[in-house]
Amino acid sequence: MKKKKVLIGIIALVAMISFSACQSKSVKEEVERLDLSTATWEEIENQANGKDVAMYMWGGSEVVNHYMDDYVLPEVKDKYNINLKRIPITDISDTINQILAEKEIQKENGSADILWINGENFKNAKENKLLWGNIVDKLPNYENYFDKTASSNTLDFGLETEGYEAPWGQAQFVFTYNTKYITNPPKSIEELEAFVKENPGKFTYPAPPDFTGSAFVRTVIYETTGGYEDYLIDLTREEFESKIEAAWDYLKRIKPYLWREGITYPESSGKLDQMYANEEVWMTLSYNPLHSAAMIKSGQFPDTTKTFVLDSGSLTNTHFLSIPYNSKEREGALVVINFLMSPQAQIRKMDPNHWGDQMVLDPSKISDEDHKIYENLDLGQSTLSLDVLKEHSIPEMKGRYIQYVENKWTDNIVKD
Amino acid sequence: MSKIKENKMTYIGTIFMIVLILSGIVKGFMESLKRGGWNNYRNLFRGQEFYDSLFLSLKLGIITTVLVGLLSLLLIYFLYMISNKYPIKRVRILKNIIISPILFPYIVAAFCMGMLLMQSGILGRIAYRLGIISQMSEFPQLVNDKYGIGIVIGYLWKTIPFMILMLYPVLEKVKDKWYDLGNIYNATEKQFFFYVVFPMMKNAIMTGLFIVFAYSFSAFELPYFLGQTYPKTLSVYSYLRYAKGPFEERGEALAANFILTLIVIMIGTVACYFYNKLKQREG
Repeated sequence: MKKKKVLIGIIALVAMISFSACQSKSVKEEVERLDLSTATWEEIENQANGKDVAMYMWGGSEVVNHYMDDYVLPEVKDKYNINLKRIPITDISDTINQILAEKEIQKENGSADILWINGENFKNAKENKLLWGNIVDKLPNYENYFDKTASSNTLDFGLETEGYEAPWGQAQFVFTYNTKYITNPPKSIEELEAFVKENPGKFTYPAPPDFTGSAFVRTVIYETTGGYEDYLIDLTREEFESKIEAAWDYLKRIKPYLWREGITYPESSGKLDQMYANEEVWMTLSYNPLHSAAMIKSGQFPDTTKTFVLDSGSLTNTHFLSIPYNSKEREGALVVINFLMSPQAQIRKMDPNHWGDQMVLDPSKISDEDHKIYENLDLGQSTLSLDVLKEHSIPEMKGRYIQYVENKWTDNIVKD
Repeated sequence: MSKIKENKMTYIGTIFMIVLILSGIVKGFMESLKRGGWNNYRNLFRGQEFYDSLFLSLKLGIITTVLVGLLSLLLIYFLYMISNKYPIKRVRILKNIIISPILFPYIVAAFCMGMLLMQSGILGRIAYRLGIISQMSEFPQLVNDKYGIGIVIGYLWKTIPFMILMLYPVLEKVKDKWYDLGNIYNATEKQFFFYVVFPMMKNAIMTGLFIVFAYSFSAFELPYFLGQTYPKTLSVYSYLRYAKGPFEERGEALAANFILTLIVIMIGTVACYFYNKLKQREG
């Protein structure tokens, strides 16, 4: 009996302590919050000093993790005394869900301070009012180094960002091929069809909704229906679906000549890469033009690997950083994002030795010194030149359409 | 007195489990009714894909359970025969080797099966080098195949060890306690297994096989990595729709998931009912 009383006493005590701790915390926060609409950048930096900032980001890439852990984390600690924590996640949509759940229970001090997002996730977050507001106007580096009129900075899969997210990097869709088997890579979608038919079983694409596979289907849509321009305007679902019929016809035509006769498809681009590395197929696809260089370096892809884009262009999208509406450390988050957009951080990010992600700032606006480093980056022998990539860059279609495509793909291509 | 205390401890555990699991199921059910209510279920039942997926899940679950039942019985019989000839320590080492795959997570199992069995995988390359096949594409399609062979092999590799883990202690205990009795009645080794050991294992076999079925029917990793693009198992279908589909359709994805749970509960109840009946008749 005595033991029981002691136990109850302990539980009550713990409960009381944690309760009072919660209370004092919420009071403290109200005192410390700056009015960010009027605060100067200096005040923001001072406020960020000594804070913990949680950055939620996809953790599936070792090079990205290294870039963050070995470079960004120590730098922001050193420069601004911010303790940046990288929270690795498998899918940012899980985090968006979490914030949505936090919003439902009106949790005002959320767990995430920075989100790495774009596309559908940004659209969902913005439409559900999960993002804080216009953040780019507060960032000095955006003001100084970015082309504010470039659509790649203000449009995210056809959706106006309105400053709710700040550009961080860029990805572009490339085909990767093995020169051991292919000497003249196709230059158009028709030539790709001819190639596939001549070499049955040696080409396939990941099944949408895999990101890369879905991008391949969109490439086919642009190529078979007259270009990207028509997909940046508003179409109804019916209009859109009738417009892309030719793309389904194309995919059905090549289907019997794909890997496994097009009955089944690799479930992820990772699997397709593995099949390419094993030389089971002769081409693989990537939404990062420097991916193959990194894969050759790590010994996974053969040295005979090269990349190409189709003459009429290759899909390009920007990935962004944003701050949730209920972030605890907005000041710290702003300072970190500003640092990630600095020429120093952007150039280092572009170096294939460190990550190999295209930079988003305007090269003409950076200092001569930085420009020199930028021009002398060794991008690897399998990578197309930056000029070629830029020349062929075409924007993504509206995010809404992507959903229509992915929904229909199963019905149209694999079901029968 | 001590028995009551033990019971109390299990009560706490049970309450804990019920609260956590039940609240999860209830929450999942409530979410499945969001943005659309019962229409989520109606839409789901209208599409062909749901039935195809459900059928595939059931098929894989049943095939796996039957095979696991047969093979684990065979293995335990084999262990029993060996234990009659060799010292128990050596048998235990063998048992530990057999159950070692339990250490690996399913996702690792899925990846390993892929590496091993795909046409350009380890086995395919060995066969190619040895000249058994002239092209790697001649290697039989064992993963991402029409029949789900890769998935079933993956499940066997993971769940047979689990069954042995469940059954082996029974084998040792029964042998310990009843072997002499068998000798008195002059039972052969075979007779002792089928008339003494096996009946005493029934309990563990039933429970084990139910867990195997519930798992192979509803798990995600193996069918995601080793399955075909169409049809997907219900778990993969539900996950992909939830994670990659539009927000508005999440209710439907969770509805599929809830049906998955319901079926497992139903089969569990039925199995429990028949099991009790069986016990009564015997008792």
